[in-house]
Amino acid sequence: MSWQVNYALEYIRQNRKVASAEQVRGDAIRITIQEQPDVVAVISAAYTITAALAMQYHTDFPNMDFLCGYRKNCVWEGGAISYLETNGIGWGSSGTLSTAIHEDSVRAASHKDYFFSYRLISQMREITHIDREFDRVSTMTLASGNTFRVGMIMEYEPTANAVRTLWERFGRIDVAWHINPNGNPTRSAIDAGRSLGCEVMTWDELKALLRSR
Amino acid sequence: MFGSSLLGVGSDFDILIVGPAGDPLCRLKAELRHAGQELPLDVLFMLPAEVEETGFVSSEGCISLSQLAESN
Repeated sequence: MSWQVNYALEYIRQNRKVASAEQVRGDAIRITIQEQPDVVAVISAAYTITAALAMQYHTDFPNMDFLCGYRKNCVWEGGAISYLETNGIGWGSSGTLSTAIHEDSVRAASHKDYFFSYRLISQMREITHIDREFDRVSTMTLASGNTFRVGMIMEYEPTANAVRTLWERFGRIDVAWHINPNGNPTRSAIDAGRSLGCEVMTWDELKALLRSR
Repeated sequence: MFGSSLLGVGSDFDILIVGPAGDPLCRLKAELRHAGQELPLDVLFMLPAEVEETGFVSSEGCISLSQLAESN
């Protein structure tokens, strides 16, 4: 049994709605839930979930209901997200899966860290197109024709390292968006952003920026 | 270490590392990536000034790994 399946089973079994959770084969587990249909989740140890990898998992496990990227630093490529959502397969972290089990919404689930923020920008009239390159990086086209490349930072208090890591991993961004409604970025984080060429912003600041351009 | 992992619950191990940026941090990250290949680590890196600014260690009840090792 792979390490991530081992940890996932231990974690999922802590969920009060879960009657049982067992390995099916390979990285797939079957979760039996009170008063709900069983769920088949595939637990991936990948650092990056690409479209090709998502398709491969789906080929290997045609009845997959949810694809879980178990690593905290797992990155989801836009193509993988698009493929999974088109095929009615939930995706995200182990925490996303656990919450979805509680809400009986496994197949419709998307990564809980980014769900609400992505919905906010999806609902902005000023944004005419969103190219979701990764789970946390999108290029937005405004009605004015201007584009902004925005990266999301989920940490409670974004640090300089968080800003620099976002830049190193995904390249140049215009805005490092602090999506956690609690806490504030550190002064070092703001300085790091400015030294690289991006601003660290809250939702209110980003919204004002997008509406002004 | 901090977070739910101190209570023996949760899906991963929350680790705080405090130190300067630069080459030593890059090397440490590479070592952690290698050492943590089969561990669900959630590592937060903070500068000493950031720890002081946020009060993170006390507010999150962080416990040093050496202290944890000694207690086990």
